[in-house]
Amino acid sequence: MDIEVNPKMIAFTEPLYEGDSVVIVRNCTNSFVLSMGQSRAKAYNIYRETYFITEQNQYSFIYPTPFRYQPGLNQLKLYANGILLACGASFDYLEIGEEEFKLVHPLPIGTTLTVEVISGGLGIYQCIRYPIFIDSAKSTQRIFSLVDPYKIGSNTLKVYLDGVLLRAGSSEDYIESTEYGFTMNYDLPIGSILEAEITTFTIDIFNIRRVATEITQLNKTNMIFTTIVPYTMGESNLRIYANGILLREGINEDYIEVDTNHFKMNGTEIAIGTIIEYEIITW
Amino acid sequence: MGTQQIRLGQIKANLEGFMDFEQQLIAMFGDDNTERYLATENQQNFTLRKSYVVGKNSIKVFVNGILQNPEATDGYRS
Repeated sequence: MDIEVNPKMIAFTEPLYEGDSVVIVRNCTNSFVLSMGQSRAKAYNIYRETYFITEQNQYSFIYPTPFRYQPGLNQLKLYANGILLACGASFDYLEIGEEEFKLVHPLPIGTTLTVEVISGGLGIYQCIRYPIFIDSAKSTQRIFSLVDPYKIGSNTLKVYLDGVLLRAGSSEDYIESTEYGFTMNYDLPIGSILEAEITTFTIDIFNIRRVATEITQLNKTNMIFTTIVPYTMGESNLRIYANGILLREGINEDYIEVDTNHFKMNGTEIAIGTIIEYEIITW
Repeated sequence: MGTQQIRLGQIKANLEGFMDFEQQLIAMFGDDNTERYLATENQQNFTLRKSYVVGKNSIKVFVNGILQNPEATDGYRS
């Protein structure tokens, strides 16, 4: 498209509609835009809360308004005992409305059900999920294609097997082979659910950091981990996984947020060979 | 960001929300640093009252409260 460019004009690549509001701001930093957006709970917020299943055959759940989500946009994620559940009638749960979801199969009493809602009211956050039922044909398939692209090496792709977060790498679980797919490094069990998740942002100032550490020695005194970038405490923007299972934050849970660069595992020690992985989204 | 995405974003960001957001921006940065326009049907080019430095990320552009990406194939060109 041939568009004249000069210091007193901007040109959109596509025509706008009548009445669209265009605001141009000078001397405005990216971080200011985001902090401003966050202050009004519109730009990008994560809510995460864990509940205990206390009733048998409980299918439907209604939760408080801070966890309101927009159905169909993958803003809602559910984890049972830290294992990601898949959305769909043939999988684990259905999105019913902005404050409600329904389990396809009830969870046993005592299960922890973590509800995570990621809201991006300004349309900044986008998430696409592909749950795949692994039948006999797919179990040896290895190469899986995606309809939407992701950026290789940017941590925008996550792959889960039966809700457990896998790791990318030639000596790990899968390889980010193309921007429209990934290649598993091993065959998959028949009857399992493989799920790919692509997270994107409509502006390019976000970075997804994901760092894994293998525990190589028992150390009962040092359970504090240092993150490579700071995170904002109390905003659920730090996710921690142990062997691909999402952990819970809290004094009586799995870990606590110590300060903006550290988290501390609760308990006495971590077993050798455990992979502790954390994820932080920065801007 | 394509027009369809802009429209989708407009639906997602409720009217009151983005209007508040625009007003906050204008209030914070003042008239000297902000310009607001209402698009006509199919309008793509906007002539600004004050100049800016092209290609230096010196301006932010919002459509219906949504920050636009300043790339040639995505959003707007500067």
